[in-house]
Amino acid sequence: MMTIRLLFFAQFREALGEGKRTVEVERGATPGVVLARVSAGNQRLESLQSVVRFLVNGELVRGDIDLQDGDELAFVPPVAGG
Amino acid sequence: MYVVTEEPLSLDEMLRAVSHPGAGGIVLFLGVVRDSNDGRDVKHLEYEAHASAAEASMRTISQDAEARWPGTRVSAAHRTGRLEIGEASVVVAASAPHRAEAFEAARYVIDTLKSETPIWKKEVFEGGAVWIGEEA
Repeated sequence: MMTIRLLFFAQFREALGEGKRTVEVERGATPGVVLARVSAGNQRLESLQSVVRFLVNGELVRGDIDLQDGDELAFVPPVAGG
Repeated sequence: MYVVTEEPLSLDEMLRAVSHPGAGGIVLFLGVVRDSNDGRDVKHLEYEAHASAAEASMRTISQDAEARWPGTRVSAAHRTGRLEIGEASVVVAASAPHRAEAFEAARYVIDTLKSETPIWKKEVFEGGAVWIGEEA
């Protein structure tokens, strides 16, 4: 198992009621898989899934990369800075 | 300088960051909270950021601009937290020997920041609230 530190922003933070969470995932788990698990049962988050991007340790990555033990994973819903 | 902060943005600091003897033109862009959006009567905005990633993003975008318009110097700052109508949420400063490049670099940086930087904006309006980007 691996320890992954999740960061929640915007709709995620509101829907889940927290800004961060530490989870244990199996080796080979991807950001996409973790997103699906976190969103499961939450209609608002499930409907966002297709437009969510991923930051691992601050870098934008694809949803199908292999996570590493200790990684920080942030879910990025549509951005709106400025 | 590339900064994400909860404090009010300092225009003086941004100007100082890009000023130098070779800069003949300096452009200062402010994004300001306005009172209406898409037919909604806006009350205030709430900004949130993955701060370290957002600062890195602004740095990369600014450096891309400096490479694309040689001689320019760019700085960017974004504020988070609750912002009222009339307050500046983002400042981009760009200097260049001549004004054409300063304008182009500043425009490029704010346009790219708005599409790439991990910052989110919740609009609180008369009758509700919505995260911009999610609205129908």
